[in-house]
Amino acid sequence: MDQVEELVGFLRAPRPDVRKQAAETVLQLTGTDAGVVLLLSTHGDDKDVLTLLARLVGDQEQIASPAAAALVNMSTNDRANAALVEKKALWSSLLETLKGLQDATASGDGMKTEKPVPAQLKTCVKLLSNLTTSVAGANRLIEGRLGRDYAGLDVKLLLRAFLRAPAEIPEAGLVLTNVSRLDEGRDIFLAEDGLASVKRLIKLVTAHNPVLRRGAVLTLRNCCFDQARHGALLTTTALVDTFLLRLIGPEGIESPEDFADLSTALQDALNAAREPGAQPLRREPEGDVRRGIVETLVMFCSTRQGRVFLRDHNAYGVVKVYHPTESNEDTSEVVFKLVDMLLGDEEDEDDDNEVTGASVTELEPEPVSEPAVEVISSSDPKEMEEIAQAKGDTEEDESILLEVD
Amino acid sequence: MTTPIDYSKFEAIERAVVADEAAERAAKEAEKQRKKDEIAASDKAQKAKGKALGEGRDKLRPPAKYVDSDGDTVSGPSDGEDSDDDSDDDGLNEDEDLHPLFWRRMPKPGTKGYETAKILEDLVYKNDEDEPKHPNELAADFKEKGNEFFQWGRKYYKRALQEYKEALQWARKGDDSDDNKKCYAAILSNRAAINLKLGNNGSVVRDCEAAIKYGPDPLPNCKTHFRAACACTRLGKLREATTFVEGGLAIDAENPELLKLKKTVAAKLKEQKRVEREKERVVMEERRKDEQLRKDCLARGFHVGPLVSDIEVYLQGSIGNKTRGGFPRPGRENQSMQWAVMLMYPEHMQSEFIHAFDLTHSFRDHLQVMFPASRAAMTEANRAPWDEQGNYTVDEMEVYMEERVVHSFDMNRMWETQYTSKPDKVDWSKRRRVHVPLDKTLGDCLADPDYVIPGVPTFFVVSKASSYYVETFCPEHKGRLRIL
Repeated sequence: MDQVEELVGFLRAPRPDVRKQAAETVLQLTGTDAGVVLLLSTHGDDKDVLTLLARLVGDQEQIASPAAAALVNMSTNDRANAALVEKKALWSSLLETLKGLQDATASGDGMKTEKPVPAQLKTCVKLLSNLTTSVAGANRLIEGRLGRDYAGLDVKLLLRAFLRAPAEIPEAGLVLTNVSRLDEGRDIFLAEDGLASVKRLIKLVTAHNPVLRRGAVLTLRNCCFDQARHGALLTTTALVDTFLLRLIGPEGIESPEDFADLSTALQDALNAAREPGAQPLRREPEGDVRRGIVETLVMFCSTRQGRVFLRDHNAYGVVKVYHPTESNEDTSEVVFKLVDMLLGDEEDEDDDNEVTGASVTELEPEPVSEPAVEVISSSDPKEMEEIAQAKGDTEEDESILLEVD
Repeated sequence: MTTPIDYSKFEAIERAVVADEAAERAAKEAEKQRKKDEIAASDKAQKAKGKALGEGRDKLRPPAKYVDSDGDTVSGPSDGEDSDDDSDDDGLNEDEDLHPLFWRRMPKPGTKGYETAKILEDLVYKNDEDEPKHPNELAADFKEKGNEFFQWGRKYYKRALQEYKEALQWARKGDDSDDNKKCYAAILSNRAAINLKLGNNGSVVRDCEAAIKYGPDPLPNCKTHFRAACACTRLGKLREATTFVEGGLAIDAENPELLKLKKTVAAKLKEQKRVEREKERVVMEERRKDEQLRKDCLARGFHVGPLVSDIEVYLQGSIGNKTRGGFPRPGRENQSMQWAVMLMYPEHMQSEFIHAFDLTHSFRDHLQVMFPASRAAMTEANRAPWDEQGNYTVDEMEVYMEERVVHSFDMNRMWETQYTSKPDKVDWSKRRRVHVPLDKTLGDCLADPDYVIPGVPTFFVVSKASSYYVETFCPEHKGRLRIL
């Protein structure tokens, strides 16, 4: 006990090399759950390990690095997590450090870069992803350094950095997922003109790294809570197409009617996969991600516009084939729900179509004017019957077909 | 031959003949009626005489005389002669002046008729300078002819189709000019028009597709697309119809007929989709039920496999509510399941279904109801009808089940994907029998870790008292028996 307290005490030693050593030792301790609990049991305000570590995050890089890593481990503990979220000082230093992300990921023209991001920054992002799992934490991040008036700036910063170098900081995707659970968080993505960030997130759905895919899909799923934006999400982005494609496996869509009802983009993708030498389609292997995809589709079904869109694009055709391959029971249940909604009839559907097939058959066929010759031959009752019969089933084409060119 | 030909005379003749045909037909009908009356009368007479009916009918023949435009009676091809007689005939029978319209076959070279035939041919195929006409021109000519026949009405559609057929042949021999292409497309489109009226929807679609493919781009009007769309609608191919409607609207966006058709197709497609959705709902409901069953079985540790193929025969008919794999779904009541169970009596090649065998019931429970308890209790009434020797009493019966007859499904995945049409390749030599003591319950059997339910749980019932037991049944499983 004493040793631990002593160790924690060293975290605020005046000499940097001592602090560094202490930080590294603490990091090692946090490697196990037992170690974390042990550390947390040291009490007393000025000896609170979390506060001390938090302070160190703003310290020199060599010290801040193990300190931040230690905090990452400790934040898996619920109590510690809650406590950390409360520490304003921690947030300040974290966000301050994250400013560095801007430069770390920027290249001259603001496009994607291949520069490696420093480890310290990566650790900070990881810490953020743990801290934002709670609502309070997410709110804190949205609030940012500059307070309510400038809410969301830091998130935007993170978002931009993430989109520039997603492979470097995959955990940023998880931060975004956490943030997008809140209305304010969603607005940060959805309020953009043309949904540019959303579109770039959609591209990440097919990334190699499963963490990236998870972050992207779950963030997009959360965005779809915003029913007012369904229209834009459905029609201006490739969200539905991308998601449906992730559910299609190597067998593709076999029935030709089902295939014909798919969107052109999906049809093209399926045809391309059938070419010799092309990569066969693979379903999303991660269960969580598949679940996120299915849940997103369910969310679209909450609005009529979404339901109509999904039906027109034959989402059911894809889901029907994917469903038996789903090994997770819970996801399977969600799929049943989705299918129920896709196959359900709208209550008021029959009212909006005034011209049904029936009224066309009531159309009076225009009389066919034929030369006198015809009249003679049709005096025979049998012929009249034939002609009448013929007229009966050519309702639509009398007028146009009268003239042949 | 340099005699100038008077075209007008021929045309006039052609037209007049049409009118004559009508009169002719009337005459024919009168003839027919007269003959019928004749027969009726003669039949009556013959009946009176006791002869068989039908003899008089041999006398019926097509009328031998025609009336031509001048009102003259011209003798036709056969006056008492058999029309199939092809011998020593120079094509014109007796009358060399017979009008070409009434020719039955092409005249042979050397005859006067042959010359006439050649003149008529040249009329069609040579132009004013007596040179053969260009294929494009011929195509257009035949097209016009076909159009004319079309105007004359339904009775002439067949003729029109013939003309169009020849027109197409010439058009194909023609050149690649825009005009010829236009003509070609028009011919196909017109042929489609006729077929649409005749109800040959498949031909319509084919012709229109060809017209669209080989004709000028864009087509001059939207008729072709319209006709194709109509035909597709009639065939129920609503998605194709939509494509054609859109194609037509691309040419003529305001066409009212086309717009009307668009609405009709949309409405029908909507209805068709509604029906499809209805069907899919049923499919999904079945899937749900199957999943429920799978989970129940999984929870109880049951292993389920596909039906053994011979059993299928027994399952056809009364037992409803089957899984997609064809075996009946057990009912569920009071936390328990009631399975449909098959009992086989191998000695007498009999089988029986128990429709609702609860998992908690024992075999004795069921057998007691079906069979006499002992020989002493056996009567005519409670004995099984096939049990001539009276061996099947509960105290002498034994129940067995067979193991390793089918492979189990992967119980963690939907069974739907695991049904195959190919029979399960199982090594029959590895089969084992399991003796089931009568007081064991169905649940005990199904939960046995080595037993795979072959769709329908199947049990074999024998009697220790019969010789079959000793001579056949037991030796079969020697060394491969266990007890549940």
